Amino acid sequence: MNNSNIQKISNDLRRLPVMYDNLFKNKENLSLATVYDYINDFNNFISFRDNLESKINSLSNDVRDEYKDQFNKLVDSYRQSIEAINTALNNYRKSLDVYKLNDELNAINKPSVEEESPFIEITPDNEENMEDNNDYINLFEDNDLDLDIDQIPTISEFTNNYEMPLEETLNKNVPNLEDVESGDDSSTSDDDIFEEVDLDNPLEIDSPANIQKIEDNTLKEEKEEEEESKKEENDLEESNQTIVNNIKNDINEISNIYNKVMSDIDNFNTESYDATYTFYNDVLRLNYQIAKAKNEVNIISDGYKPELESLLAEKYTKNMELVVEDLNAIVSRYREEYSNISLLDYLLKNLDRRVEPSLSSSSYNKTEEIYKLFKKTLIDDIDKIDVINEETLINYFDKYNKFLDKDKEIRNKLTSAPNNSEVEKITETINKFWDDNEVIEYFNYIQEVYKEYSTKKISSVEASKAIKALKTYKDALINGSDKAVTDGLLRNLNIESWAIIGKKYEDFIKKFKKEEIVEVKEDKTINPNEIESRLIDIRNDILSSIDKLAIIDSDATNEFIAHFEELDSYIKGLETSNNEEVKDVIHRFFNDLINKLTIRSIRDFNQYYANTKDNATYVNYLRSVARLVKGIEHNLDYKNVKKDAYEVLNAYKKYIGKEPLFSVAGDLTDYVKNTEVKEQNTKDPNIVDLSEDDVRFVDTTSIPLVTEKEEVKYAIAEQAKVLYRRLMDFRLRYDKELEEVSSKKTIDKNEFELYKLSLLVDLKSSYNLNEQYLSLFETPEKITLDNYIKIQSDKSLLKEHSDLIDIDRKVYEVLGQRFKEELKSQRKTEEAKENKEEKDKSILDRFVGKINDIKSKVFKVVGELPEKAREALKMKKKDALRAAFVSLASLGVVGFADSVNTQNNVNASAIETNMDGDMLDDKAIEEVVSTVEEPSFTNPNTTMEEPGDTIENAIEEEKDPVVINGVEYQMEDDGLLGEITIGDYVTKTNPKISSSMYQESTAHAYFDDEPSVVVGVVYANHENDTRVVAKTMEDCKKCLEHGGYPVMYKVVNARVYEKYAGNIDDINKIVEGYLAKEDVMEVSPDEVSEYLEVGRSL
Amino acid sequence: MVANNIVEIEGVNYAVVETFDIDNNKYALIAPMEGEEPNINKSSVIRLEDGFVYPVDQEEEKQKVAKKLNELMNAN
Repeated sequence: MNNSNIQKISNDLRRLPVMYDNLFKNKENLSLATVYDYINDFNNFISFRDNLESKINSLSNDVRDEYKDQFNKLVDSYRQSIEAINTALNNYRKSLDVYKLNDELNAINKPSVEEESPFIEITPDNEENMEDNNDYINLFEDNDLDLDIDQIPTISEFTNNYEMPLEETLNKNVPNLEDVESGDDSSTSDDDIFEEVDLDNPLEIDSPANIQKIEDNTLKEEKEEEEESKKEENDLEESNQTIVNNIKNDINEISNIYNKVMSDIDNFNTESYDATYTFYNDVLRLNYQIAKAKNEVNIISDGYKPELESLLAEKYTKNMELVVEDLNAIVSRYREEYSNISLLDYLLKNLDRRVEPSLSSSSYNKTEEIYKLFKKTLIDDIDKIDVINEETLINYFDKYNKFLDKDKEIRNKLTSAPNNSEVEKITETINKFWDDNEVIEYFNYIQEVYKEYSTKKISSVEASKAIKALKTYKDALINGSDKAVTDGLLRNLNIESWAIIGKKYEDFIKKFKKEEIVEVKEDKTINPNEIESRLIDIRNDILSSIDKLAIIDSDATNEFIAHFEELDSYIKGLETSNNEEVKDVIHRFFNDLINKLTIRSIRDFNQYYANTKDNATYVNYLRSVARLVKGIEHNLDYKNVKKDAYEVLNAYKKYIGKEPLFSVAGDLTDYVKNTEVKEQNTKDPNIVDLSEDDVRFVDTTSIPLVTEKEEVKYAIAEQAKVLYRRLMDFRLRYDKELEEVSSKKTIDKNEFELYKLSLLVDLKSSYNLNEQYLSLFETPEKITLDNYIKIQSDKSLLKEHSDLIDIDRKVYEVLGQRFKEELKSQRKTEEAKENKEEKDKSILDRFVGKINDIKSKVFKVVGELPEKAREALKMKKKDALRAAFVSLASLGVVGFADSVNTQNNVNASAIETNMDGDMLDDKAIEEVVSTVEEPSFTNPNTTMEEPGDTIENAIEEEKDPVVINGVEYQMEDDGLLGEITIGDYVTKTNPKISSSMYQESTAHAYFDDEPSVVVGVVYANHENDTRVVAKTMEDCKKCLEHGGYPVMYKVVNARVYEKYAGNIDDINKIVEGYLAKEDVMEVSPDEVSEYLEVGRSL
Repeated sequence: MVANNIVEIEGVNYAVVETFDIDNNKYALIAPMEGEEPNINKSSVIRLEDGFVYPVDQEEEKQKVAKKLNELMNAN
């Protein structure tokens, strides 16, 4: 038993309730700034509790149970509330809703453990007795002696009855009496048996030697006890001193970490994810250190407390406290959007960490900056509020409230500050700020919204809408939209919000209407083209957002509806206009079948969704509409369009219960009729004809939708049936056309193969079939309806399955690979023949042309450039033109490149590297083959590097690129240096890498589903014949520095990663398996199972 | 399709810097987007046809495009 350990455990048992109490003291009114303190406190408590338990468990048996019992009683009494706190914190981690966390924590009642505390306080006075008692208890209870006093023999009984066996007696090594008397025990045996037995042997008890010995032993024991007692006191003192020293160190550490955080901020680079992460971690560490030191000071004994408190106050100053609060707020926001580096950057700029409590000479500039920033934040940040994401609203209000506090603080200081020019200037700045009409309007309005929201009179959605409505309205005024538009906005977009806020705001609205609308209206004219263009743009946004919808994700649906409502309101606003030109725009817009379908039928269907919440039907309907619209726009195969049209009509009639309004039905019918005319002209008896009845084959309402899973399953089944019919149609056409072509005896074998592939791709594209269906097509016996449903169901019932209608880019890779293989075998057989170069070139050209044709069909307009990007482009247009020259030159046109080079002085070396001229040698052929993987218009070799000369830099000068080994990179929005950047990095830093490798790796980057899931780059070093897998940028750098070059870029892609559920061990095994088995440069995803097996067997 | 749109080609977003016609064919000068802003370093020209996009890969066509780009550059 170690007294020092016992002492520590006793202390810890005293600390545990204090820490537990703190969990209840510190929970009141948590904010985003203080919630991490609380989480730290909680984590500290848990780890302290667990440590204490293991300390107790490590005690010897004789004392453990006593402490264990105390510990268990304490922990049991805490269990319920600790579990409740844990649940609340877990909820918080998911929702980041600090208000909810407060509610949940406040609902937890702290059990009154003090009244029935099982803990017996151990004080220095009773501690020794306690220990004695322990020994006493342990003697009888733990050792389980079960003695019966009557059965203990008396001395005489023992003497008379004890008979040692003769042989044993003779053999005993009896000690020499003289030796015993003189204390010399050298003659005793190794066993010392009599030395041990003598003291208890009644036969020897009265001997003078033993009496002397007993006396000596008694003295010795007393002395030992005394020494032990002194030692215990010293140990205790030493132990306390150690604890105090530890606490002092912990407190001192606060300043160190604080300085580190400040230095992080000074070194902060918006382009560096590492810097951000370091900062983020350091702030968390600072929080932890502060919480730890505070806790430790609280529980230390009174003797040391004042000293430590004063040290803490010295190290953790008031100013630091304010800064830490700011930092915590920043970190909270960062956690919410931690991929958004610019947000962190912005917040850091707002951090007024240098403001001292007193007004210094720099205060004026700081003050002006604060107020200027606030005005910007107050107005601009409204755009960051997302109606369906309450956190964005909370963030906005947080900033708003923080400013109010800061404003109050500054004004308080001013009242007591001496009157000088600096103070006057500051006062003037503040007055100017509060005299600004725009500020006042926004400020008062938002204050009212906040009041309504914080008292829970309105929801976060209503509050968000109300705030956004003000901004939209003001923007409309500023941008000079006509009165009809602004009135429309007021009535339709904002009316709900305004009405919610209350009658007092009617005056506010009136004021706007009277004073500002009239002024703006007089100066501005309507631009119908702009309105029309805007309408089409929003319509396109709506169609794009349909792609993101998922049957089981009602959040995506709500988001879609929010977008749609915005459009709806805009149109309604326009519809109220008396302006003939605007009316004409609206008329034209709705005269277009596509627009009717997109806007009006969805508008009706929104109502259906609002009533039923039937997300599956709603999503399926929207998708049919989107498919139909795209089909009409791109004039795709009439049968598909016709089917989609029927789907839309049927769904509409079935769920809305009537014909669509606005003649949509009539228009669709006309459309179908028109396509039927075409059909007659091109009628082919071998093609499956889909009549109206055919497309009405599934009535989903007859299937009971039991669970969400089931619902998805039925939706998949329905979709699979449609695809099945589409595929059968496809197959018939394919077979028929092939038969026709192959019957021509004169056809060249190569041409036939090419034709087969192009036909396959063309048909696949028009039938919207992906790779999975394609593979089934190649093995026709697999095509059954059951197979289809099974494939789709197996994929993942709860996974969004939009790939059913998307063209899978992956198929191009497969086709590209097939072309390569064909080319290789082609070349082998052609080698002996004459004019082989010409033939190769001809074949290659056709391959490349065909592949480019295939690739070219994945193109769509997805949106409009943001304003600032547009402005930047104007400035940089000349650079773009020059870069395009280089791009064209790199395609291998000598004359062209020369003319470009002389006329425009473009980067000559960039061109020369691609100017081999001879397309027929092996190297050139390889290069051309490599372009199969890469569309020529994105050839990365055409880069014109001018360090720092990027549009991003032109826009945000302070946003420096990341520089690694002299190569600059722009940080992506998600904070990562993406794969393409790794590819760039690899080739730019290592001249050994050929352009074909470069293109290959870049092509992979383009083809990958998700850049972030690529696990590694395999590097080879031919000098020492080694291969390694680099998983991070740092690893890549090391490999390159040691002469390695990448041989396989995409070891594991998104699909494989998904398949193995991110199991890094398996993935590593796949890589090892690959390295052990292969020496080629590529691995297809389908082969990874095989590599996994090899890897596992290694 | 007009300049200042964003177009998606094989999953990559490009900014359309400029559009122009040659021999009744429509062409677009595009620059890949990096994050929100277009990056002109990999700019190129594409041919637009029936809503699809094609690379400029014929010798004669390239010469014509080069000439057009030259005109545009001088104009800018």
